[in-house]
Amino acid sequence: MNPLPGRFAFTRKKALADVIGLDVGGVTSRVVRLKRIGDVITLVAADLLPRQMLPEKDSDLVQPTPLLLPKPLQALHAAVAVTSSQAVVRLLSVPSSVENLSQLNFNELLGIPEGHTCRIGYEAISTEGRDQSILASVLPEKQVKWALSLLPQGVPVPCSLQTSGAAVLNCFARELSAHHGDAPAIFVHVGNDVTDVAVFFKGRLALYRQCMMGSQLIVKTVQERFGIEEELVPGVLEDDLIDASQPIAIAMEPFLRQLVLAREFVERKRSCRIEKVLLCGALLGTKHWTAHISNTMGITPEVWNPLATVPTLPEAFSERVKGMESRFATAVGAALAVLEVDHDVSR
Amino acid sequence: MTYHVNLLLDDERRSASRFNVAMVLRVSIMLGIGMILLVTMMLFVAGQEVSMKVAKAQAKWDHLKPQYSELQSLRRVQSELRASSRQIESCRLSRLTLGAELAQLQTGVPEEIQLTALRINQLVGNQKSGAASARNFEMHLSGKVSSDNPKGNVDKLIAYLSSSAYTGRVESVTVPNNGFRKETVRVSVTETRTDWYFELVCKYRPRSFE
Repeated sequence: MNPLPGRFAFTRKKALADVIGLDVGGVTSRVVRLKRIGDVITLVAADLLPRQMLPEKDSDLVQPTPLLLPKPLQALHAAVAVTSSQAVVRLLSVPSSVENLSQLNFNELLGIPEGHTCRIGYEAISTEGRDQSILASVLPEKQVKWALSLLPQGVPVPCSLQTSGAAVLNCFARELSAHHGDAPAIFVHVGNDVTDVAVFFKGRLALYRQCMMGSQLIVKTVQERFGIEEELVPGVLEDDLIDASQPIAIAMEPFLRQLVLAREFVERKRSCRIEKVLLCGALLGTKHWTAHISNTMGITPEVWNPLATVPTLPEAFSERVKGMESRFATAVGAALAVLEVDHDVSR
Repeated sequence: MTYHVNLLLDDERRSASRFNVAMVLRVSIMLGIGMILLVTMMLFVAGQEVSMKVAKAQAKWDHLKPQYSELQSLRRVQSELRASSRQIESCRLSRLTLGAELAQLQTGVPEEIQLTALRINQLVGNQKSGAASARNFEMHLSGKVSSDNPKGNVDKLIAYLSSSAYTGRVESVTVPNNGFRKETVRVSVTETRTDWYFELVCKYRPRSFE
């Protein structure tokens, strides 16, 4: 309930209408600018910026160079998502009787070892029967500080800081409601080192898994198997001159097994049949990903474009973005999390 | 449904407003310092200009000082001379011109009157309170008048002396006590003659030293 109804409505929190989604920590920094024009969230600009080196857990904190955003990507607020192999995202199930979530021992629930300085966040997302689902995420404190120091002063100001695994879920949810309705679906977001798997049932997150493999593992596997330079790997993965499917299948095997388990778990628990797998991210050698997922699960995955989930202005993409659209899911998700949550608050 | 697990702490949030208190304060301080510097600079420049003007005026003064001193001493002399001149003129104006007085007196005395004595006294002193010093003249007249209408003849003389037909400078004419008397003189054994004697005091208006 709004505590200030009627004539004091002007004192309500003003909804954010112009936000940049910033995905940092990966091979490149991905930035999108989403703006609410009327009631429609519109993609105003998207671009890839040079990589910002994420500090490792045990290394010293190095002050990064502040991000210099091109003019089309300048907004007052920034929603930052950090892509890190040390980030943890879990969908926890706790009894509904627990009203004060701060009483929960998240260190234990999330398996964080003693002595690790981490930032923990959580949000109750649904309640079903005796259980409630809580989305929790963890990021090393050092990486939090590093991410904030990318925008040290002036604008944009950080209004949100999420792990990439949590941020990307908003993009999945939007794609689902826009193009697939309530159909159960598995979203796979391939990262450089980590791949996110999220299963949605009736439009809500039913399962989330982080798989510690990504496109970098495929590249290394091919590189080692054929003894070639890293720069040559994309060519090998895209053409048919060299058959790399066997070593790739071996490398992807743990991921594929988790994918199957995730599907079976949700199908059993929800008594449903999942027939949609949606694929995006750093899809180096897309055909191998689709082929192996298809062979293992019997479903041909659809590669989708995260930038197509929102209406787009004609001049929104720079030349660098063309062909890389599927890498923007996290950045779009981070911005959507702020714009959509804020819109709910203001309403 | 949105998934927003925000790891940002409240104290890490900043205002996106370009006009926050710190910035306004900073700008105000900078403006204040700027204004102070500007005013100081303007005062300094004005001070320099004044110093230059003073130096120029001093140089001019140094150049003119001997002439000024000479002028001052000439003015002093002129002032002294003017004072002396005024004093002399004042003395001249305050004196009684006896020649003219006596000539006028001669024309106005009736034929029946014979003047026997004339004395003019001069007293120098203050006039009425606060006024400048003045000469106060008194003319004492004594005479003899024939027995036919002696009183009338003396009154005629008094009237003449008091009028503007005389000098017009007489303030009052008085007859002192016992100033009008008769004396009987034996001219032969059987014959006597009565003579009338009078005394008059003519008081002139004070003639001040202007």
